Amino acid sequence: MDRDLEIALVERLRSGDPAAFDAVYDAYRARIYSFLLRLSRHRDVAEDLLEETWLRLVSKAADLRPDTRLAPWLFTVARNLYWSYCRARRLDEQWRGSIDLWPARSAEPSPFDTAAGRELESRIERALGALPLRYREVLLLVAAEGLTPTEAAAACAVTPEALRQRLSRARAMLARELAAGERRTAPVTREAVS
Amino acid sequence: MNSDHFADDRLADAIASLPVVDLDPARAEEIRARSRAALGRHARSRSPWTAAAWPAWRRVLEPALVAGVSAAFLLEVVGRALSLEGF
Repeated sequence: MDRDLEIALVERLRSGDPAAFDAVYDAYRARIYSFLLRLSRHRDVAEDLLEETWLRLVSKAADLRPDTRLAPWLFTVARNLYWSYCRARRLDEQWRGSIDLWPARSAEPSPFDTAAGRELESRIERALGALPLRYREVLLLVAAEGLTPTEAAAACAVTPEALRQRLSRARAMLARELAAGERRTAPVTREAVS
Repeated sequence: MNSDHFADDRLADAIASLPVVDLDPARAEEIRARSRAALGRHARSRSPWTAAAWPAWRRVLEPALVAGVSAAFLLEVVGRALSLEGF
């Protein structure tokens, strides 16, 4: 989002302008939902936390600083809500694993590309889902959502140095998971081809 | 490290290319409506005539009103007492 537009939207949100809320909602709803869905791996949880994220925004709208950056603000709230949810439910990371969460994409280049693309997506989703939450979240915030490491560090309430280390470990873990996934699927693929 | 550090990575590219998933349109509109309603409530509760200025008005008006009524009552009592004494 253009910075000038963002500043203008924040100013209008502070004064309770519903049209400004609509603009922010339309710009970030799907991104926040995707983030929560990939964190939680459960649609219902992601939807409830998404709603709570927006309710937090409107309840705090008047107190937003004029220079608030909306994406880091929203991702921080969403991330904190999910951690609170996990603590409240005493969830550990047993929820990891692959679930067919993703609806079909609307525009696909060709059947082959579709199959190849979905295969890759599916492998990455599975590998991401297998990571511990604290590693998964940094990958999602930085690589998927484009937050700067400084913004992601603030969102995760860690120092930039700690985030750097966590990100590095997360990448290594993801690479290992992907490699392990390839080894698991390779014999099946060969069998199917022969 | 900055974001470019990660942007060069093919793994990061793959994560960045994961599809953005939206929720069911009906549910999305339900959340929008609830949030807008909450925004309206918060905006009203912070409007000058309610949350912020009304206590200030009350701080000024209430003592003035109490003082006025008390003075009138006192004057009436003194007036009646004087009239009973024949003044």
